[in-house]
Order: sequence, then C-alpha cells, then structure tokens
Amino acid sequence: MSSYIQTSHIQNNDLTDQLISQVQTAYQNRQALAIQGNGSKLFLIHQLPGQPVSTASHQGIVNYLPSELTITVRSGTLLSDLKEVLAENGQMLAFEPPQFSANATIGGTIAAGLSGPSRPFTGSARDFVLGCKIINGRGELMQFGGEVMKNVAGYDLSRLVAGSYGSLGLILEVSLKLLPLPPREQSFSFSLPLKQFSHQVQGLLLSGYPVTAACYLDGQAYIRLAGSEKGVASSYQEISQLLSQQKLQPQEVNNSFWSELNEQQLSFFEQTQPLWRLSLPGKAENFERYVNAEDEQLIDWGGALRWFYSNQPADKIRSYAQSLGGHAQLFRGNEMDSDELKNVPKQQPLTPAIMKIHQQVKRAMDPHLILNHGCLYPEL
Amino acid sequence: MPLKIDDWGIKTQISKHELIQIFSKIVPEDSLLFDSEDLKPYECDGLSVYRQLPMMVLLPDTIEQIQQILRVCFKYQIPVVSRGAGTSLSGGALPLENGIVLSLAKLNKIIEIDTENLTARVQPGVRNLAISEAVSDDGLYYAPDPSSQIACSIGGNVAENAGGVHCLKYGLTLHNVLQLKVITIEDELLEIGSEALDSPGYDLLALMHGSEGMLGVVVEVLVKLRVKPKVVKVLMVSFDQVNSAGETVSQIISSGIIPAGLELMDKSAIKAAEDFIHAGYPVDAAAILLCEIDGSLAEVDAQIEQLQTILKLGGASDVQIAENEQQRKTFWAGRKAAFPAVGRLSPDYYCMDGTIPRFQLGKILDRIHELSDEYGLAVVNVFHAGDGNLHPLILYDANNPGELEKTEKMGGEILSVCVKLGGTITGEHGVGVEKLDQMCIQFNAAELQQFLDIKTAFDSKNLLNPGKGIPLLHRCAEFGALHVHHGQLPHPELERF
Repeated sequence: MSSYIQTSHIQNNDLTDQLISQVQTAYQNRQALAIQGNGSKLFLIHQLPGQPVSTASHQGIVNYLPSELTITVRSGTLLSDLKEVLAENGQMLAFEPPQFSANATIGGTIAAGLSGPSRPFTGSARDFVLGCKIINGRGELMQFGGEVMKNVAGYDLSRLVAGSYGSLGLILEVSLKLLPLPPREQSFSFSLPLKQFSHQVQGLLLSGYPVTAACYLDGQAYIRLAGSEKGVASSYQEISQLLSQQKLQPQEVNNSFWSELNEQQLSFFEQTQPLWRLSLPGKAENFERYVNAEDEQLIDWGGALRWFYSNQPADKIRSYAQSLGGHAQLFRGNEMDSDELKNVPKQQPLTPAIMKIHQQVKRAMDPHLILNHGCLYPEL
Repeated sequence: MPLKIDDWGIKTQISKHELIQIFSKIVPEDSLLFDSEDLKPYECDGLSVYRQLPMMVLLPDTIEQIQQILRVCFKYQIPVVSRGAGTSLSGGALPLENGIVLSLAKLNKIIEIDTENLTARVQPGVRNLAISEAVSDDGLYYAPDPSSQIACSIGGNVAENAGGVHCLKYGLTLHNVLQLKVITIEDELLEIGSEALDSPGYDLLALMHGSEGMLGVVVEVLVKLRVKPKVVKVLMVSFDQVNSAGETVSQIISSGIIPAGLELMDKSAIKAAEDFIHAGYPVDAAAILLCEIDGSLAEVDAQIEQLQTILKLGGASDVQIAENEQQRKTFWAGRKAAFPAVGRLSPDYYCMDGTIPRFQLGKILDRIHELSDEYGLAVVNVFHAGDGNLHPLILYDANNPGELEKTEKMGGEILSVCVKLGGTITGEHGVGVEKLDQMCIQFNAAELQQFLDIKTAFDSKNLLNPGKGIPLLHRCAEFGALHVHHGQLPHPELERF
C-alpha cells in the first residue's frame, strides 16, 4: 500500500489565503505585482516593476505517494529539499531542472520551465507537469489537471503555466510526474570532430542504447547511459567495442560532470562575453558557419541546445537561430554594456500573429495585466 | 436520443442557399455536400448514440481553401465542427444543426520523413498507424497508439490528446508532437512550436492538445519518431483476486520498473475476449495483467527477473511469458479485441473513461460492482492499469425503453466517484458532448469561466465547435452540480435548489 511520506526537514506552511488576498487587492487596485520565489532565476527575465509578492514561505509537501510516481508540492518548497525527499524514495525529477542557486524553489523551477541535460531523452519540465493550483489575475483560486497521468478534462492550463514566469498566474502548488532513479548511470567521453557529433549520438540511439545525456565540448563528446546495473554495463561494453573499431577511445567520466554542466559550473561557463542559449533543430550543423574565431560554444541535448559565448550583435545571433528553425535567448549579459543590455530583449521576438494570441491569452488569465507584467515581453 | 447542446447564442447571418453559392467558389463541387443523403455519413462520430445532420460538409484539400472557408464562417457567424476520421468516443465531432462540418480527410499526405532528426511532418488527415508503417523500415515508429489507431487521424489525436496502451512509458500525443500549423477562426495561419525542442513565449503547443477543435483548426503536425526497442517481451499474469492484481500494479511501479504497457482485464473481460479470439486466456482467473517490457536484451532480462519476484509476492497464480513474437501478438490480440468481444455479449455497451490514482483501483472496482448491482446493468472492466485509466463497459440494450438513460446515469455516477477518489472524468476520450455535466462536478465556476475566457481568446465569436468540451455556467446550475470549492459558492446571493 502506498504511504504518505512525512519529512521532518520540509516546513509545512500554507499561505494560500494570504496570497489570494494580496492578488485580490492588487486586482481591485490595478496594482502591478512582482511575484517571485527566492529570485534564483530573476536574471532570465526583464525587471519586475510591481509590488513584491513572495511565495518563498509557502512550503510543504501536500501529497506524496511514491507508488503513484507523483508528488504535489507547494511552490516555495526548496528544489534541493524536494530532490532529497525524492532520492530517499528512489525517485527523481527526470527533467533535471537546474537550480542556479541553493535556494531555488520548485515554483520558480516550473515558472521558468527549464530542463537539464536529460531533456531530449526523457522530457521537459512541462512534460512532467500533471496539474497545478494557481491564483489568476482576478485573485481567483483555481486548480487544473491533477495527480493522474492522463487527464483531458478542460484545457491544459497547468502545462501552459509552466514556463510563463508567473505572468499567467501565481503558482501555489504543482503536481509532478516522477520517475524511478536509475540503479546505475555511466558517463564517458571520447575525441570526435564536431561535425560527427550529432550523427554519432543518433547512431547510439538507433542501436537502442539507453542514452540520457549527450554533449560536446572542446573536441570531446560526452555521453551518459542510465538503466539497470546489467543493462548499462553491457551497453557500455558494446559501445566501447564499437568506438574502438572506429579508433576512438572512450574515457570514463564522473557522473557529476552533468550537474556541473547543468548548474553552469564547468570552467567553460567562466567566460565574460554575453551568454546565449540557442535552441535549434538537432541537425543544425549549418550553425558552424556563423561562429567567429572568438566565439565559444558548448553543445548539449545531442545537438539541439547550444551555450554560445559571443560578442556578435543580438540581432545577428537571433537571425541565425531563426534561419535554422530555432530561437536564441540572451541568458546572461555578463560584460554586455549596461545600456545595451537594457535594450536587448531577453527572448526571441514573436511573430505578430503569435504575439496577438499571447496577448489575448494573457488578458484571459490576467485582465488587468498585474501579474509579472513585461517579464518576458513588454506586451505581456 | 435527445441531446442537450448549450446555446452559445450564435446567430448565423446567411441562408443555406447563399452559403452554398459562396462555398462552391472555394471548393470543387464534389467537396461540398448538402443533400441529406450525402450528409448522413457525417451525422455522428464514434459515440453513435447521438446523431445530428449538419447544414453542410466541406472537404477542402488545401490550407488556402480552409482559410477561405473560415473567413466566410467568421463573417457570417457559422459554427464549424472540424472532423478527422470521426472516431471520437465522446461526440467531439458531432455535427451542429446550424453549422458546417470541416472534414480534414483529404489532407492525408505524409509531407516529409526526417530520419536524421527523427521527425515526420504530416497533414492532419494522416492515420495514426500510417505514420509508424511509413517509418517501420527505418527501425522507427510513432509511439501514441490509441486503440483506434488503424482508423483515427493525427489531427484528431492532437484535438483529443490521444493516449493508448504505451503512453505509460512513452507519453501522450502532447509529449510526441513538436510543432503544429493551426488556422484560427480569423484565418490566420499560426506556427505553434518548432523543429527545435522548445520555443519562446507561452506553451501554446500544450494548450492546443486536447482542446477538442475549439481553439483552431490543425492543418499540419510535426511528430517525433522513436527508435523501435531491440527486445519486447510480454507477460500474462493471472490472479485469483482482482484486488491483488490492482495492488500488484502499484508494486511494479514502486519497484522502479516502468513497463511499456500494463493492462488489467477482469473475469468478464477475459471470458469475452477468449470466446471471441481464443488467445489462450485463463478463463478461470479473476483478473489478468498484461505487462510489456522493452529495451535492450540485458535491460529486459534484468527487469523480468525483478518482476518474477514481485508477481510471486503479489499472489499471482500463474505467469506466462510470450516465447516468441507470434505469442506476444496473441496475448495482445485478446486485449485489443476486448471491445468488439464485449459487443458480442450485449446489443449495446457504453464505454467510460475515468482515471484514478492507481492505489484507488480496489475502491473503484468495488464501487463499480455495487453500482452494477444497483442498476441491474452488467459491467466489463478493461483498464490501462499502469496509468489508472479505467474503461468500464456498461452493457445495455438501447431497444429497452429507458435503458440508455439508466446507463448514462450509472456512467455519470462512476465518473463522480473517480473525481472523489482524486481522479478525473476523462483520461483520453475527451469531454465532447458526453461529459459536459460531469465537467460541472470536476471544476468550479471560476475554473469553467477561465476555460471559456481562454476559448474566447482564440475564438472571439465562439464559432469553433461550440457546445463541446466546456459547459456554459447556466448548464451547470441547471444540472445542479456546480462544484463548490473550499466552501466558496460562486454567486452566494442566488438561491440553489
């Protein structure tokens, strides 16, 4: 029988009523609100001009039944605490959300919708959202989705809220799908010309190997396998043989490489140019033609994500990404001139038709535009 | 069967005759149907208890034609019901008397298969199974496999966020689509999502999935393809108690195994399937689990070893592992034929689609059993047990006066119990016209109003499939089940009876 796991180190603190009343008052007064958890992802959005509302103290596990592979948790709960409780039960958030700070909350994690190295292989943050409880811009408490794997009653507003940075609703609780921690993970690297990287990763996938991460840095491909002890051991053995036939020598790599990549703690991330996040179709090897000698890049997601340090103009980087079917986000301005930084949108601009729908969706959820207005785009 | 369709207050401003004149300039003669004889095949979808002839049916074969048609509908306020293969089990594609049916059946081309990026770009009328067939030689497949996959179209799969037997491990339609091209009622062509793994702005891609044709018309879908697993094995496990089978499902998941499929059939379903298909099912068992494991050989062997222990502890009376591909297909054949098999037992059956947290399986089975006795209607249970999605089939005879009404009432009660147990009224079949009343139980007035506002954000005149998916608030008031949340009654000033 499933059991509810009570954990001592996570506070149980329900601020629902207080948060509702704050949003209701703001709605009545048309007062802009700046909603945040502990602010660990604030650098990703434009400045929030409104009156601060914090979800940081709204903490606790509302429901956790490990046998159901689901958890419902209040938004202010620390991501690190949550991951610890899950690990104690042999489970994990399979989208590997980055923390960027020890005090990152799960609310902020879902609001930012970021996913780590496993994303192309196991799914994204929104893929694992099953339901949420939010306060909309009218100060109304509402609940969408639920704690079950399949649910098509009503529109999928819980996944719409993921990645909206609190601009469609204040996130009170999220219900997430969990996965078992794999009994074994094994990481390795080998030298490879960049142009062979995506093809090599695809070859491993087509051969049915349990790849859960694949990146490319400084002439080396890094691969992670995950699964049962026996399954991973035999896969690694076979891959080693395949690589040696191609005169490639795999070296074992500590699994912590991936969390250092995810948290941007590798020395690659110590550079001073602006850091761009480029999400591109996997086969976008044509991107290399846009890379200047002084640019630096790390390729993750088997080729679908590029961390790109470059002083090239923002418009140029955006048009490269767009021409290849992807988009570019200014992730960290670093030493970008402060005036320029203020004027460069963080997000790739939307087409007028898509922006119009965004504005209408925003107004449907938040008619007075009081929730984190302008955090993604000035119009929203 | 009389059906209550909510009045969305749409006032069409053109006569049928004038409309035919206009549409005949947009689509060829044979793509515009308006004689009742020609309209007949479109009068219902997979939920055939409800039937309604539309004003006319259009079968465009280009995106431009669809844009022109929608422009006319927007101008003259004509409701539009988009239709793929018409296999919906909830009446999502049921025509409206004063509306057109926009059939996407002629948009049935696979535009591009990209084996490098593992994607396929297809038109909405392409059948689900046709995608997997087209990429099979490359060792690939499209994962979501609703039971209607031979017939159902990918556009309809998006509209319903279709699931299937394998979605426990491989996700729903939503998890397997990268991009949509959608035409709005104001004939704007939107690209939602991209070839990349994420897109800037709100996740409209998620919102479109399961929106039942109420937000836009899907005209192109970019789906993800998966690599076929090297090894697939199926276990057929017998139990003397249904509850032990349910409990074992939780134990399997708790142990860290995610089967590719995990299905439960009760005694009556086993018997019906066995009589029909002779798959070698154990007719004496109270329940069977079909458990499919896939992956590399080493991975599959390791998991099966672990499973044997769990099944023994869970009280399984017999475990059979399909020894070859032929036997694997035979094991599945019984499950896949369960619905037609039940069709032989009874003149009619009504298929429900509630979902519950897995650990509530025992409780819901007991309650279904009680309701079956109470109503005097037999029930056959087949479940996607791995994800808690129930498909109780209520057996009835539509020729007996009042029996369908009784069946619907009992079905409604089952869904209410699902909500009470922490579940939902529909896991994968959609709300359509069928579960509008139950929507009033699952959601409160503010939530329903939020859905209606989202609809209006896309469709300012409410012309896309009005009367489906989301009930109007006065319907809920009349149904008498406006959901009260946290003791907060919407409009407390009004008296309720």
